[in-house]
Amino acid sequence: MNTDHLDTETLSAYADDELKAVALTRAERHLSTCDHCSALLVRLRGVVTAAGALPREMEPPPEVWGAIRSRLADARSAPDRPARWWHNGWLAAAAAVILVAGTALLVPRGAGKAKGAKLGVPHTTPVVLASVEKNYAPTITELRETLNSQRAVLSPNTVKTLDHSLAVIDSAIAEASAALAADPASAALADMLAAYYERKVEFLKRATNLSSSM
Amino acid sequence: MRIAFIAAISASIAVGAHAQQKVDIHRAATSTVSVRLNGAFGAVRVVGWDRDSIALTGALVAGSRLEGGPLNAQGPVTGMKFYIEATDPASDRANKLELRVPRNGRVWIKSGSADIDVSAMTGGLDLNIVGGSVRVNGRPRELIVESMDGSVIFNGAADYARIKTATGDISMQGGGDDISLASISGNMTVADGSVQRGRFESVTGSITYAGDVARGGEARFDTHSGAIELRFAANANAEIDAATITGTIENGLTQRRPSVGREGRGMELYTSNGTGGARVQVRSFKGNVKLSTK
Repeated sequence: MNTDHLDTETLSAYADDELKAVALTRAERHLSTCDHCSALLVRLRGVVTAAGALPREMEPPPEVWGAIRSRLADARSAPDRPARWWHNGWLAAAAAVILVAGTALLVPRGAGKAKGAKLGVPHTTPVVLASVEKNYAPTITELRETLNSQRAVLSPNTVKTLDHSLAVIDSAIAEASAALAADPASAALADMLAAYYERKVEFLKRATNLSSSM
Repeated sequence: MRIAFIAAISASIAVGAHAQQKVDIHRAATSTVSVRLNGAFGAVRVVGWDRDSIALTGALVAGSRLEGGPLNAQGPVTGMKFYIEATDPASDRANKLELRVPRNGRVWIKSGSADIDVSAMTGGLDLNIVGGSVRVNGRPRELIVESMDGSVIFNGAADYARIKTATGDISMQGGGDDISLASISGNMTVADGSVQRGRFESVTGSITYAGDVARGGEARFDTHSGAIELRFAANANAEIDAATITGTIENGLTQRRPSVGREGRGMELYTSNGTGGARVQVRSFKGNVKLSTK
C-alpha cells in the first residue's frame, strides 16, 4: 500500500488540470495505485462541480454578522478590562475565512492574477470586499457621529492626533481594499482588511471614550 | 455601596481654591485597595509600598481643587477615588502628585496630558492619557496603558499587558505571559525579555523586537507599512512564518532564503531556528521584514 499520499494542493491542481508534465506524470502514477487519493480526487471534483452551480454572489450567513456585531457591541459597553485580543482577532479571522472560503468557490482560480490586474487597480467590487465594508460600516458611522459630536470638548492637538491617526488607518484600508479588489481570492488580504477595520473600530471607541470623559 | 461612597464624597478632601495648596492625605487601606485618580494634573508618581495605607501628597496650583474620598467610611479603605479640577491648562501641567499605595493594590489613572511614573507595583495598573508620557518600572500583574500621542515605556514584566498608542512610541524592556502592544504610527521597540504570548501591531510605525519567545509560546507581528525587525539569539528556538503582500523579507537568522509569495506577489519565509518550539508569525502589507541575530 502506498502511504506517501498526494497533498491537497496537488490534488486540487490535478483536478483543475494545472499540473505540469513531471508533476502530472507523478500524480497519475500515484493515483493509479492509491485508492485513498483516488477517492479524495472524486470528492474534490464533486465539490468543484457543486461550486459551479452556486450563484455568483453569496452573502455570508446573517448569524455570522449578527454574532460579530453583538461582540462589537459587548466590547463597546464592556467595563475597564478590554476583551483579550485574540477574541476579536478570532472573530475577524473567522469572518475573513468564511468570506474568502465563500468567495474562493465563486472566483475562478487565478482570476486575481489576470494580466493587468495589478495591486491598486480595482476592476470590480468583489463580494468579499463589499461584505467586509458592509459589516463594519454601521458601527463606524455610529462611532464617527459620536466622535464628531464630542469634538468641541477636545483640545486642538488631540483633534489633530485623532484625525491624523484615522487618516493613517483609512489609507491602510484603502490600499488593502484596492489590493483585495484586484485579488478577491486572497485570504491574506481579506484577513488584513478585516483587521484594519477592527483597528479602526477599536480606535474610534477609544476616541469616543476619551472625549466623553473630559 | 454607592450611598457610602457618596457620603464620603460629601466630606470631601477639598483643597483651598485660591492659594497653592499642599496635598497630604493618609488613610489606612487594605493590601488590595483600588485607587482611582482622574482629572487635571501634569505629573503623578505612583509608588507601591509594603504598608497597608495610602498616601497622596503633592501640590496643586491656585484655583485647582481635589475632591474625592474613600469608598467605605469605616475600617481600612478598600477603594478610593480622587478627582482634580483645574481652571486652565497651565494649571493642569503644574499640578503634581505622588501616590503611595500598597504594592498589590490596583491603580487607575486618567488624565488629559500628564507624565505618569509608576514603580514597584505588583497589582493592577490602568493608565490612560492623551499626551505626556507613561513610564512603568516593576512587575504589575496586569498593565493596561492607553495613550494618544504620549510615549509609553515599560521596564519589567507583567502577567497581562495591553499597551496602545496612536502616535506615541512604545518601548518595552521585559516581557510576560500575555503581552500586546499596538500603535498606529508610533514606533515600537522591545529591547529585551521574553513573552509567552505576544502580539505586536502597527499601521505605519516600525516594530523592533529583540526579545525572546518562550518555549511553546507564540508571538505575532502585524503591520501595514512599518518596518519589522526581529532580532533573536543565534540559538533561539523558534519556527518563523513570515509573509508580505508587497514588502521585502530579509533573513539573516537562518540559511533559508525567502521566496515569492504563494499568491504571486510579495515574499514569504518559513524557517525554523534551533529546535523550534516557539511560533513566530509575521504579516506585513508593504512594510519590509528583517530577521537577524542579536
